[in-house]
Amino acid sequence: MLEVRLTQQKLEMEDRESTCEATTSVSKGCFVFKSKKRRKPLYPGDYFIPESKSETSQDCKLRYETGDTQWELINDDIESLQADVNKTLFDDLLNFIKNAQAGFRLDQDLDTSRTRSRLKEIPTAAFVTGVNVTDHHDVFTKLASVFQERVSPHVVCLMSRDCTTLKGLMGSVVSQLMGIEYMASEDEDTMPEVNMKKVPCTFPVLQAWYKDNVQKRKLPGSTATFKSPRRSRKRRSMSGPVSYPECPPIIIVLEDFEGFKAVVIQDFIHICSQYLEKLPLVLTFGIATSVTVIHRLLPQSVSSCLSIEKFQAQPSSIYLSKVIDKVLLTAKHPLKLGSKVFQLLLDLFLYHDFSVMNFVQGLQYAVLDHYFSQPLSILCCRYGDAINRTRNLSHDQLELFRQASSFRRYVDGRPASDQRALLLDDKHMKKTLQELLKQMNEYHKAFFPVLECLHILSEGLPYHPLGKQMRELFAMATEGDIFATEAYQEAFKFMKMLARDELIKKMTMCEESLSRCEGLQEARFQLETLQAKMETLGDTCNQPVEIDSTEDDEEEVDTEGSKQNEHDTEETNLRGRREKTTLHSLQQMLMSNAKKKRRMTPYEILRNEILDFFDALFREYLPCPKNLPLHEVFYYNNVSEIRQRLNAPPRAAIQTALSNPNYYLQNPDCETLEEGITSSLPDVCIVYKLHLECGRLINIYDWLQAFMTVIQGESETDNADTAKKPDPVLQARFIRAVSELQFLGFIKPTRRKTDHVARLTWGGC
Amino acid sequence: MDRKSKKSSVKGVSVTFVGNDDVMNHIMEEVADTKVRKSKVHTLAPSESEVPTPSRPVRTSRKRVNYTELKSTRPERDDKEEEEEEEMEEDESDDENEDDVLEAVSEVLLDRDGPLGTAVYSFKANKRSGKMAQVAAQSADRQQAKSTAIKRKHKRRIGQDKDDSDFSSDQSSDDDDDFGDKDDMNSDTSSERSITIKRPKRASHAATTTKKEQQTKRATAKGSSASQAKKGDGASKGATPGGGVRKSKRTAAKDDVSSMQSNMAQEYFVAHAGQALTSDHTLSRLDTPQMGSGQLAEALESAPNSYTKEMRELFEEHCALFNKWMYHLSNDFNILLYGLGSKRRLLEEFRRRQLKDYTSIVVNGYFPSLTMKSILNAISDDVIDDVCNHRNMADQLEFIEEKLDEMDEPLFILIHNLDGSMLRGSKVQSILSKLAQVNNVHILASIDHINAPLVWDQERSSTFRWMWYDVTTFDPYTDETSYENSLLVQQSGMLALSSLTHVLRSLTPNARGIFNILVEFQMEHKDDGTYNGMSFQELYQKCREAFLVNSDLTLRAQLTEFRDHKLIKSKKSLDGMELLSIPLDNSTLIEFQQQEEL
Repeated sequence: MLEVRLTQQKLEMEDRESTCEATTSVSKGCFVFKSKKRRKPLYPGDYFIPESKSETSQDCKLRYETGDTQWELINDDIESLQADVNKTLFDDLLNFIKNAQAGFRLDQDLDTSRTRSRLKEIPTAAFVTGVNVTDHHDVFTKLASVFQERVSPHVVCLMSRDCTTLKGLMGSVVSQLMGIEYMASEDEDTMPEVNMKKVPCTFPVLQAWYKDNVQKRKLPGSTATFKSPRRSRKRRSMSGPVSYPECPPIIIVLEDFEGFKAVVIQDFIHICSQYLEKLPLVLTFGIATSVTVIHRLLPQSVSSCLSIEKFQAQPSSIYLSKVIDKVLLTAKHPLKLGSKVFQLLLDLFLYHDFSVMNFVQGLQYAVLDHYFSQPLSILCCRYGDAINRTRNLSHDQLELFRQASSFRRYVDGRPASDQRALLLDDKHMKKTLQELLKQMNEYHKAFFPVLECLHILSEGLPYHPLGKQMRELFAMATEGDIFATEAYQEAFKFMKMLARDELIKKMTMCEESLSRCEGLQEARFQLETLQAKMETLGDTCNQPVEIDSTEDDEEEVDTEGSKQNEHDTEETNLRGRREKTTLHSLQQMLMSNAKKKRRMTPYEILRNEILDFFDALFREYLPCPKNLPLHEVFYYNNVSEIRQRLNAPPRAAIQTALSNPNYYLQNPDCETLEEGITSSLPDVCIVYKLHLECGRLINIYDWLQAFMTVIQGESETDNADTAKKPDPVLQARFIRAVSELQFLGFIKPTRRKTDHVARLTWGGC
Repeated sequence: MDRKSKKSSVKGVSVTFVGNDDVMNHIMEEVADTKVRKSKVHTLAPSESEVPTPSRPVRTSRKRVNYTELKSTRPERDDKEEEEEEEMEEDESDDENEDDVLEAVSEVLLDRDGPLGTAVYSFKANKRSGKMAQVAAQSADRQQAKSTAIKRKHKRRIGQDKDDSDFSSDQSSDDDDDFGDKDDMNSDTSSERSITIKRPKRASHAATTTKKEQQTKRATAKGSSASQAKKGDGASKGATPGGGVRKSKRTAAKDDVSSMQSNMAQEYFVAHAGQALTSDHTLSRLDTPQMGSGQLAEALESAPNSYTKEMRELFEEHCALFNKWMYHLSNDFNILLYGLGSKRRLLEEFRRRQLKDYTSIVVNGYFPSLTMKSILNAISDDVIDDVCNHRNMADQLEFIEEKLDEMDEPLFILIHNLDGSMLRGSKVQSILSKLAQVNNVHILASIDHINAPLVWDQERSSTFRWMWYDVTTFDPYTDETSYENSLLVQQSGMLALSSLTHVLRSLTPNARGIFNILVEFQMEHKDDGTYNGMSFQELYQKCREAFLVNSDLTLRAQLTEFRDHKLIKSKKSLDGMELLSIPLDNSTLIEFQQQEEL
């Protein structure tokens, strides 16, 4: 046993020495290390290794499984959304394509072909997809599968990178079309194996193939099933046989129309228009910019061959808000994003790429990392499961919970006896945990409907103090107590000016969202009574409340409701104009009006009452989750981690390491003074700092001298001898540092002057 | 941090990127209020720990594990520095707020721990030719001063302070145009004038770097007493720019914030209009202008490395991430490593520790004759064990995709330098990105070039599904720079020379003679900047004279052979003559001649 270990160690030692040698060669750049035994695909759960003793591998496994299932749930939600989001658009496209070549008949039935009106232009759908290029491929694969399911088996998807020449384009058209073989279930064996590579890629071939295909389909009794020989790993298998029209159209989808070469696409369209009588062709252009690109790529002679219809996809931000609403702004998924992480992902979306795919990827990373690095996440699962799991927690795991900062705060707030019990008694601790989990669960259930109420109320306010979208509100509410913010006060100030019908509308909407949560029934009831009150107000609601009946009539007239008042002033205005009242007197009058104490109308009183109710509601249900005990279990808040993973600054890292190596090395020796260079810095840093002092060209000789001055100090560079005969070690160090700078892309050799290099970056700080 | 650097800014502009709103606010602002203003859009998520940014960013904690609370482990020295700063800044407190407004650009996208954009991307500033030597001298000076200061049992801090003032005063006394430099970033009225004045001065500077060296020599010759006097001198002089000028500069800045941007543009053009002025020194002044690779390695062997411990710690720290990387890889993410220092050792260590039982491919992206084909071949031939001919790479890729899917075995591809010169092409990258999408293919790659992320467009970088990791190792790029093309002047031509001699050895004496004539002719014209090459007619004439060829047909045949071996280049001159030249630099040719003579 010992021997085995020893030999293993020895082997390892040898291995270590040869780690780099094995892959260093002057004649090869590629090295294969083949494993002897077959390995299964990676299983992420294998890498959940407990970091401290407090967790057993069993617990880790459980954590991994929870994380996995949670992500599956989220992913399912997103995928189902993806199907919905473009549904109407896809339906439109389907209808267009169905109808475009509906009248098509093959040439042999001469009679019918004469009767039908002949198409002169290729029906073309211009599908404007928007700028989020990264999402498009998914959309198009989805679209193609929809076409195949419902219109025609003959769908070709072309990417510009495969179609640099007409030959290549035709090649992929033919191979994609003919690759889908028509398999009549009876004569499976008789079907000759077509070797795709030997088929010439021309339209006559396509024509013959299509004719053959249609005739075959006419054969009675053959159940039509299509098999796609191409990889269908990600595509779902088609659900049973589909019935197609007699002459299904051939749909050619150009995914990134802008990327195609103009010549190629022009020729292709010309040829297509020639064969329009023989083949039911339909084109679909995927356009990321705008429809005008068609006219920029195609001259009039070509574009006249097309009859284009435009289909506009929804902007990706709508899709994103749907994703956020469904996945993040709901109590359904236990995992929540902390405000900063959420904000970061959102900013990446809005400022970088508009790509929902990348957003989802970031979300996935957040979920995975939460379960990977947060041991408390073991309880971040369905409420019932979490309660069960608390029972099985070990003492060490409970310790982890005790160490959580939010829990410590909670303990501090408890009476002393309870504190002791919480910290020492595991049983009591478990009970409290369950209690807290219950609280958290209820909090989340109520949080989102109430947040929606706030959103409904604040929607449409001038200046949008609480944001235009629900997600902004969410970010604010998770950042800190929302009712303590200025924006909240401001929003309420504006709300106090809401008109009656608007308020009624908002109240019904709020009631609706409140009715969705069981815990909020009481609040809903209160709201209903308020609503009823509102209805009973009737028309007189705009009259001010009479507090004193002793007031004389004149004043009453003056202090009438706003409408009346307006009318009044108008009248006085009119009168004033007639009587030529000066501007001054008008001003006087208005000022005196303003000075008079406005009295509240019954509506206003009720409105205040309603808003007070809402305010109390928000204060009760919208405290910041950060202040709640055990929020670490549910909220992923590690923003710096996710920023480094998704939005890393590679250049900044290099330049920091060069200009301030202490940041990484953390050694007081290489502490850099401002703008100063010390000899204790790593060589490459010295050389880098020296090169910052130069303009576009750097004299290598001077550079070397400066480098040596820094290293050796001035005294030794004094004599001309060392200037001429530098220490070979120093020179070698300099050479290494310079070639490293070149490798990093700061300088490059130049021929403009002998022994000079050119600088490739600007500035010197 | 910026503020401080601005204060002691020696040269040029330090530009802070400011949002439009902030600029507007700044202009509109009449009374500087003490609050740090934040624009509404960007500050929805300010940084979590409201720690005042240290004077220099220090990575928070080396052994930081997720979810442990962030503790800023700043060295004690920072506190001292801060004290210093505070002392220094007391008189400028009102101006500071001004700066704060300018610098209060906080975004959630911005890493507060790391460096800010200003530190990385700055505009080109005017540079003087002798600056490098000067700075070097100053640093040496500083070190000396430090040691003397310690000897005299002065406090280190004070010594530094003096040095700093020395530093700035040195410049001001050295040449006034430096001040011009400083000024014209703020007051546009003076800028043009100062530029026009500067020109002749610059030229003189450029010509006499040696003078500067002499100057510094003189300074040291005088010994510590002289430097002491200089310091005193500097202190008195330095006080003026330090207090008065800087202050006036600030107030000026207050007034012309709006004109600052137009000035920046002006600066840019000024910096680009002038010729680059450098001294005419060449490496031939050294005894050993070139070092062979063996010589170099030998010399480096004995080179000291003062940070081995820290580097090892960094390395170990990165190694601790391996498990996490495997977790990401198993979740179909790919790992991309960046940061200063060779990441080869780290990746190899990863392969050794984690991938022992898996099939893996190591690709040296820095290898100069690497092709995409060879990578694909390595997969299809060695991993799949199926040698079949593929017409093109797309076919091969499809084949690989299919087979790997069938095998259902993980395959790891480790790419050192994904941004290597042979992998930069968009075609190669698109194939790699397709490869990354294949099931069970996991990629770990490293990048080093500062502009490396530019090789991907948005679509491609999202198909790679990168997880970025900063793994600064400070390891020397020994292997990466070992190939001829990356080593700079000192080595360039070594390989070319050896290949040249190899080829020539296999030629007939006559052919060698022809080539020698070309070499000689080129050497004769080495100082002629307008020399484009030897005309064919001239070469023919000379060859005939030397009885090397008898017809121009034989000469042409010979030249074709040269051209095939890339020994010569030919191009058409303006009047249609064929010009022949050898695409090697002069030093290589000289060496070649010396070899020939032996």
